[in-house]
Amino acid sequence: MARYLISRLAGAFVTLFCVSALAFFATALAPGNPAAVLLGNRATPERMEAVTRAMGLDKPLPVRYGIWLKETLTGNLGTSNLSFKPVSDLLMAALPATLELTLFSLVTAIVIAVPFGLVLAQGRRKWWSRPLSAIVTLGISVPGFWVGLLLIVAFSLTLKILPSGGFVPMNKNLGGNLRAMVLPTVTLAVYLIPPLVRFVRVTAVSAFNEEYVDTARAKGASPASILFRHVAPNTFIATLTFVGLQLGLLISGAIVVEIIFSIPGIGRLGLNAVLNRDYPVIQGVVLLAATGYVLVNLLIDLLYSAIDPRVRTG
Amino acid sequence: MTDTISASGPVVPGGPARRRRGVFALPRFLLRRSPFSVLLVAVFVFLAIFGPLLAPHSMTDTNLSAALQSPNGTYWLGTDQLGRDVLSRLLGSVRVAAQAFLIVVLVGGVLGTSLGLLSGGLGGAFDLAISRLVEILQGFPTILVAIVIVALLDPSLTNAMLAVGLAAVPDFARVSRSVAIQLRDREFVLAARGLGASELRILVAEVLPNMAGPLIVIASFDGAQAIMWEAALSFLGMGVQPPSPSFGTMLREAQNYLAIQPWLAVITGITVSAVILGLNLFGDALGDYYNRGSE
Amino acid sequence: MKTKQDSDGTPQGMAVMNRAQFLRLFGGAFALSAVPGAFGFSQLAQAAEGGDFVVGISSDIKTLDPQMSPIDVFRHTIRSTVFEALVFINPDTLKADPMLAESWEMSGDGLTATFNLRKDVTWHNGAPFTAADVVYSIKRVQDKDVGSPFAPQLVAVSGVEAVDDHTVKLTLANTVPGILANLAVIQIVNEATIDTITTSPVGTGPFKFADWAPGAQIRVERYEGYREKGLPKLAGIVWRIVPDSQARLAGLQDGSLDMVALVEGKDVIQAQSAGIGVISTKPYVLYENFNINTKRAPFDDKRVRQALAYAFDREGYAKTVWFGLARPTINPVPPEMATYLPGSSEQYGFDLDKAASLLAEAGFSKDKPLEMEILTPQGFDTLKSMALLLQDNLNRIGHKVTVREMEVTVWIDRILTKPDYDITTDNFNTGPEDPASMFNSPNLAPASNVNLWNPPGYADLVAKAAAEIDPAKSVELYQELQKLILDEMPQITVDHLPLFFLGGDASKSLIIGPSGIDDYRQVAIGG
Repeated sequence: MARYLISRLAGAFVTLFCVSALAFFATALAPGNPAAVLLGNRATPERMEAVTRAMGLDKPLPVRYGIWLKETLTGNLGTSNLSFKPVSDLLMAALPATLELTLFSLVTAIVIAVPFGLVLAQGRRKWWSRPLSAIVTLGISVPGFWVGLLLIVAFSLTLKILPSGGFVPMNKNLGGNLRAMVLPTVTLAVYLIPPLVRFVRVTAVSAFNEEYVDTARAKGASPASILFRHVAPNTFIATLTFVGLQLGLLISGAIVVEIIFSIPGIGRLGLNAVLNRDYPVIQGVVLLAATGYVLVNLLIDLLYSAIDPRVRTG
Repeated sequence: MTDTISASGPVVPGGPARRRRGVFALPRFLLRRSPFSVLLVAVFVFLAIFGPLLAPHSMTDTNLSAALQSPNGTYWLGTDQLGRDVLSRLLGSVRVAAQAFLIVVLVGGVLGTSLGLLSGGLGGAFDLAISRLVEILQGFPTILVAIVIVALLDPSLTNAMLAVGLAAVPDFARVSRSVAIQLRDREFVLAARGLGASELRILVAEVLPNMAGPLIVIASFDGAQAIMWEAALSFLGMGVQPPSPSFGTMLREAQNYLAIQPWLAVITGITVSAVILGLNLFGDALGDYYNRGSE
Repeated sequence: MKTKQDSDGTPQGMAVMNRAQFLRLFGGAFALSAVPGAFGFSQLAQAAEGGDFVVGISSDIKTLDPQMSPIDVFRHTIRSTVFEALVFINPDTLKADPMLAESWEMSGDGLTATFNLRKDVTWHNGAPFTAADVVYSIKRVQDKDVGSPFAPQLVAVSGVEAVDDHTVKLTLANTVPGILANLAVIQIVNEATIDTITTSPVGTGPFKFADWAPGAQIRVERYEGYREKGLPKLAGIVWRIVPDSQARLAGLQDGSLDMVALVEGKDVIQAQSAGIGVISTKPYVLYENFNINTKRAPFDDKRVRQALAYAFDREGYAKTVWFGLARPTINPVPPEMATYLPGSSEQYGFDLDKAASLLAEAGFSKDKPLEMEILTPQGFDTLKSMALLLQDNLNRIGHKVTVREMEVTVWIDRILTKPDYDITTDNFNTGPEDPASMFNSPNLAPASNVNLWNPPGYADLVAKAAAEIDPAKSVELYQELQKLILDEMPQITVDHLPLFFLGGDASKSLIIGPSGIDDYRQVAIGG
């Protein structure tokens, strides 16, 4: 087990290193300059040069990456080129909103999608299965951000019963926090439910076709017992893996949702940083997202190997 | 092959099997199973090819004296904020959506399937390296990839969809990899190997044809997602460049006039949803077809 | 419907109303069982903290330094509250009102200005405000290494010195009739705390800086040591970043926002139909225009530039895209100014035939089409519409025009750092009602301007006009300058615009200054 863990951790570090290097060089090579953001379109080139130098952006790229890497390894993510706030502070300030948003919508999506997928798989030969899955498909064929805008029009502008966004820290006002999270959570869940329902359905259908299910059926097990004892557990584990892999989708969806519902989260921090070419912040956001991704998948792997020892020895 | 379970996934949708079916088995099945989705997809394909020819007006001609009109005799689906014909722009958007679909499926499908096939088929250090690469790809949120690619190469549909296609690589890679692993030791593969075929030849000739089913299902799903992404990226100003229409730019513009001319938003939203719905239902039906044999 | 909290934070009206509506919608029992506690009995989610005035803005500020950040649409937030200038341009009289200077006199030759500073002003850290701070601030703006975008306002200032602790003397290289208007945008900063100006700025204004959460909000709170008792009335102001325009409107309606700053015509129309109040400035605070790279062929040919001016339907644009809220004009100088050239705003009426024939003279026709690219910065929808309309009209007469919407940083790269562009959309402050400052603005200044335009004699004419003391002669010279730019067309002006704010009664007491400095002192929640 220890050896397995070490090799996984080493792999995770390699992934993080590659991700950070890729992000660094790609964004640094893109045109645009944070000095321009500070000085605007009517400054003289000399001023632009001076500010660029002051930001340390005149050094060669590998040198800049080396400096960043060294600082990061010692725990210092640097400061923003524009707000001059420590990147770690910016990340910590934005993290709660994004964590809450993504966790809520993940849970919502799982709670809706898993039973739905199981029901669709169980009743795959029943007449109601296809119209029902068509309705699900209809619900999921509307672009997520569009759902968000419609929700604002319906619940904030017309009915006036839910706020149109913003973020209230949980420890300040729990009720307010939850109310403001309703529409964003629903919107982001709409992004996640379609792939999840599909995945659960196909996974469950193939589980139904496994030999051991046939055996159980031959032994006279009830359909309910087959569903809950044999199919559902398999499906659930598979779902976990799937969720781990869909983290990228989750983060991308979160960016759009954070913009529509004015939630000051990681997604918007990253988007603004890219638009302003605020390199230290871009690196921080990418590193955080990648770390989250690697950690969640590591966790799921460990869970797996705990359930199924074959994974370790392979 | 010790530590890459996350990249293999536990179950392959529509497990592969060698079976013979008639050329018309698939269309017959689809028409019987899901006529509505076939109709939607047929209309989508037809309009993607011929739509711009059928457009009653120019897609880009502005007419300030006819801005924000509701549907009428001249403009069947009304006009936008610059007096451009909504019907014509929607027809143009359908073609853009089809382009988005194709780019994503091509980029994701070709890259992903090759990677997965090699990784699962050859195994060993190769598998390890590719699995890591796929994991890195997946570690990037699609939107960030899109932003960076667009910043490097200028905003355009192709560049935005390149990013979405890269994001689709892991999906294809994962499925083809697990199919390859499952098939590696099947009788017909062993037989081919016994006859002295090289590993690469076996992969291409014996394994690849057997994963068509699952790959097509993934393609229909990721393709539908591509249209969703086109909309989202254009919504953020990173996709199709003005004045060309696309679902995303049209939705973004319509959203600005929600309270003044809600029709604009409604008709665009319905059209894009119908396209995605058709593809999704079609994908469902395809999945059913490839699963049928194993049921 | 009352949606505001009173100052001690007790919610009124709204929470009750929400609950009632919510229960009606879902049926009481269901609502209570299905959504335990949190929704049914919550307070208004966005309830303001302790009477803060919450203003929705669409994008974040770029820096807290008031002497920097020119492309920052919302820089007025900090500049209007935390910092002050020597004078404030009164939007009604358009004359300078006292601010940090309580009085001033000009010497007979117009080359020396002496300012008597208020003696009761303190910095937010308690230190007294003195003439040395003014000297430092002016020198800082002029310092090339600092690179302040406000430096052009002070080009004529050749010297500044503190006569005593509360008297400052400015020496001018030439007479500048609009020197007070120029000084109104130069915020006075504190030398002792200059190193922390980008993280915790210290000013003399009615509000002191509290917090900036980049991407989320900016907050300032009442400065208790402010010199005028009872002012400001607000305990604090929060500028919350709400990127989506529908969400901003919803925020005004559900009470989570008290005001929305700087909106476009379509937002004004939607707000009006929803019964939300609209506050606007004088109708010519801003102008929208196309900047032209006059150094690049064929745009170095004035016939091509004139053709572009004829090819744009300013009337239609103002009526449709701005819903009639903009005033079409081809002359950046508004008719309200004494120096305005009569009848000039209607020149270059929309005429595609004329455009075609001018382009033909310059050698462009259907067979040899004019190929050009119009740049437009992301996030400005009206500018994008401008670009699309010009593109469509030119393509209609057979030319090949493309539009490229660009990220703002990349856009700056293209039009300034390189400069590598044909023509771009832009908007610009009309500036104070002083013709000198318009011809010294970054769009038209002879020394350096975005259009890279400086024909022989232009610099002399601008300098001569600025130095002219006889009002009649000055008007004559400025009209000559307008004739020149209207003929040469280095930039195509499209319209004059007011600034629009949306909000309830409270926001009506906001004084929106013409030069981007507003007065929040009289604003009070609940009246």
